Amino acid sequence: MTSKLIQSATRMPRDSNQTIRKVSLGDITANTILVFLFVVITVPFIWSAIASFQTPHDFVSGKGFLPSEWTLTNYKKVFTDIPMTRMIANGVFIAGTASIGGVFASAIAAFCLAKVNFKGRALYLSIVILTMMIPPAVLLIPFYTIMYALSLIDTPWALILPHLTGSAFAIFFLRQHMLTIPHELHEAATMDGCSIASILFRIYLPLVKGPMSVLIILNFMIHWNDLLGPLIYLNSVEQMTPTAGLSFFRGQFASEYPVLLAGSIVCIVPTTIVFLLFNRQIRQGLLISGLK
Amino acid sequence: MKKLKTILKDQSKTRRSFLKSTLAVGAGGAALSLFPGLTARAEAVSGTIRYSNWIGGPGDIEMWKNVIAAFEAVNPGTKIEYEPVGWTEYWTKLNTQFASRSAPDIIGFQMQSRTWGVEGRFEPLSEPFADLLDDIVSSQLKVTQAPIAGGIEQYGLPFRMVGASLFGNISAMKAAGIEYPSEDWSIDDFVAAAKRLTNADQWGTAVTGGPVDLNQASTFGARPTTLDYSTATFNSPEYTEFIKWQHDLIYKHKVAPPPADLSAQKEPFSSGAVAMFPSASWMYPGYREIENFEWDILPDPIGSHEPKTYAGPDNLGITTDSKNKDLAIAFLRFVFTRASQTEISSTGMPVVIDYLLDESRIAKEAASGPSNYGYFVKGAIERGEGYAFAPPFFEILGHIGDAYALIMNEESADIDGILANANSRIQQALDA
Amino acid sequence: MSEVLNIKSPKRTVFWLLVFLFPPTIGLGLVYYSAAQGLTMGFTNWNIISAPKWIGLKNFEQIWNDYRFWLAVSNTLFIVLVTVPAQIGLGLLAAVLLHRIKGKTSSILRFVYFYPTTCSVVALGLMWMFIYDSGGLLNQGLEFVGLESVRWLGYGNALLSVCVLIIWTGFGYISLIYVAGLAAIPEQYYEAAHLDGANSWQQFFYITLPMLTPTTFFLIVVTTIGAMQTFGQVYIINGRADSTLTIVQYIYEKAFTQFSMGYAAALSWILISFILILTVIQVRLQRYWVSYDI
Repeated sequence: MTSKLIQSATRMPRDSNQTIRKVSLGDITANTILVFLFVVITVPFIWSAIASFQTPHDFVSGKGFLPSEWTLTNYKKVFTDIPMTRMIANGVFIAGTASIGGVFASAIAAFCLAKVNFKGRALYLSIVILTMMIPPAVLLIPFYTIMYALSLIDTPWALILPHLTGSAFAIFFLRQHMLTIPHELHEAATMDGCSIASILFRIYLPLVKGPMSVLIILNFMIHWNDLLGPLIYLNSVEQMTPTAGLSFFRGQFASEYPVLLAGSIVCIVPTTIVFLLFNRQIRQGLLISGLK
Repeated sequence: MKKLKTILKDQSKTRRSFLKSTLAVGAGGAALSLFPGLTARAEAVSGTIRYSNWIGGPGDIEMWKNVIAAFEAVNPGTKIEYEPVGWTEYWTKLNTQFASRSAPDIIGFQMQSRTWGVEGRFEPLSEPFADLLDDIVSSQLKVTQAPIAGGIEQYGLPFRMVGASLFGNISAMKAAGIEYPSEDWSIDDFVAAAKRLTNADQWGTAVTGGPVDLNQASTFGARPTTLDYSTATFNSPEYTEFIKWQHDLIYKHKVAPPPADLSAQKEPFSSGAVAMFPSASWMYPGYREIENFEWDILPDPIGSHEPKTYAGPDNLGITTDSKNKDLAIAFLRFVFTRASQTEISSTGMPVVIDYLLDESRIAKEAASGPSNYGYFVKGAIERGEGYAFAPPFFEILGHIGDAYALIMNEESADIDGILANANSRIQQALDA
Repeated sequence: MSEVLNIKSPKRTVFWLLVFLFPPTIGLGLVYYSAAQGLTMGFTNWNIISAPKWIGLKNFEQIWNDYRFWLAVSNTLFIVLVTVPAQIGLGLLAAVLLHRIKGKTSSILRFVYFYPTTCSVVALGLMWMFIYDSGGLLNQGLEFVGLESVRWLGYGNALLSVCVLIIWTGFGYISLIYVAGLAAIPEQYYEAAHLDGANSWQQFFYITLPMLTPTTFFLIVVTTIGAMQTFGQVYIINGRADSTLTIVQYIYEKAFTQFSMGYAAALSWILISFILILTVIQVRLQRYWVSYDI
């Protein structure tokens, strides 16, 4: 019975006008807007990418758009001035572990807060959401003291462990999703005598695969792009992540801008790969819903 | 050379060392390598310490790695863990480490020792470095000194200096028929030259509003604060006159652009956008790559007062969190050896007097450019001054920058009002 | 909506509940302990270097008279009022349009719109600083068509320019979330409406929008909290004379460049209260317009 419900829900809702394939004014406007947005997003990146191939000399003398000579020196510098390859490995490990572990922990917590009625549930939820309002600057020093006491400074665990406990945003987001799943599904399961654990793992988690994938990717990005965390909790250059490593090119008096741009692009590549990898999951995941 | 030596001796009144008189500096080259003091204290040190500093510009990391490698080679069994951090993040990280008493053994800082040292976070260095203090430019030592009961204490030591000059696009000047100015050219000569240099493709000069301003501000008798850093003088008659003069450069004489119209993408001087540009020694590596035109340092134009040269130190200190103070002291002493100072001077100026004045060094730097490097060294030593190195230095810089943004970008700005505002804020910062 | 699970053995439920909520509770404990420590500083004059001294409410008094604080508040509120509706509106528009066209194009566009969110705020800030520069992309474009260049980062414009950057970065991720929400609306509703003679606009207003209210509510709350804590963009694009000073930026400046930890902690108290009040208002208002099942 459960499978039939899921099956019926996977058909994509269709705009009823599309049965007749005619190009309407609405289509033209719609496509224009979409193209405009596309241009607005891509042009800044293209421009920066071009600049990253400029020689520092060209950049400083402001030769404008197209570089007089294309050069890979900036990219070379990114990999030779700092141990970028090692940093990328660090980044992938930290961001990956923190995001996957964190989202799973959040999903489990979201389930408890959405579907299990226990005393103090509303209070617990408020406490969770409240943490989103605390400015990180306040937490920085006490957190550091704790990590120092645990001898975790200058190890990747200082950056991973705090996130393995779940994040307020993920819990909130997944809870909203789970709330829209009707309880006929698990009522059927309870009749079959399932425990709360198996209900969670066999019904709910698969149903929120899509939102979870989105969250894992989002969190991966966030951890990957985190600048202050690695800078504060890590000391040695070998432990750094790429985003923190880039700050080495921002000096007090002179920033090497073309190298910074090249480095930014290098940093973007892993997240792009992750997004491409998970793209299919998201698309499929978003189609499944628990509604009739 | 001798005259300079005398000036420096006079400046270091509190500690006189008669060793100095036996050093043959005079006309001719310096003939020094290591200091006598260093060889006398060659105890064995071992262990590991952490050293953290910010990154001033490209080349800093390389420089420190070389100095550290040389130290570790001479002292086997030691390890200096170097932790460079980007400039803006450096202070956040230091802050966090200080708060949890886990600061690195040696850290770089600017003028904070006045408060930090007195509060017991920095090791006093007057005693372990007593023999070296005379060899260092005393105006640079002042920044890291703090008054304590019974005198002053050195809570940090400068390891290099940077300073400001007026840079000139010699090719552009030649094209405009302007000869290299004499050392006593006046402010009016400067404005006249700027007028001849301003055309469709370039500006005669530019207005900056930062530490490099000191060279011109001082010639109006203007300072942002009093010398003892107790009172703000940002809207004093002298400073107001200076600001109005700068404002006129933009709107009356039209020889300088409003700062907001200067593109941040290209460096104003090396791109040829500005012909006479107040800038600083930290730009040498960049300027040395200029291929399109000849460039050099111009003398500071003279107004109603003698112009000073902005010269400020970057310092190192030993934190009291350190668990291996002997090694830290040994490394710090190593920084003052000729070999290290040579390495360091690739990114700034050495602070050790003899090396600073070393003729062959000056000639070498002048050969790479600027040719008039000697003028700058002389200015830094004879007329060098810090720029409001009060403890709330960054706050003061912020208020000054804000005032500049409001004044210099509008033709009819309420200059007196804005300056008064900024001055009261600077005073608030000083009082805090 | 609270639903009760009728489980055969309550004892096992409790056991699992404890196990499941164990990690988040540790995290919460960590955060609140640190927050308590950090916030207690608000009543002291701690400056990192010397030991903290209790000064009661003095910091708050100072804040009340601090013109820069009020500047930061007005800037931050401006950012919230401009970016939250704009991002959500633009995100919804993009999602609806993407929903119409299926297939490859749609997923490519979705990827492209979302792309800025994947980049570090610092990198984007740097990029846009050059775009807004007096000789940058925008002004070059303006000159090309014969218009005068604009001081995008000038005193009067900087805040709006930052808002544009925030909207540009955020709408893609919002559109992704809306796409998920749109996909969850059953097709039968639209078919039924069409049979009743409703056109596309009516379908949008009477079916799509109402069914999206839980998603919209979530987005409004989360985006507001985020906007109130804007920091990265203004940290890089530093408008002069506090024209882009935000509350979090002021906290950071006080704490880490001026070492006034006590003052910064007091500011944090105020920020948290602001956000709390705003969120509570939004949650209370949800009963008037959010519907969880139709």
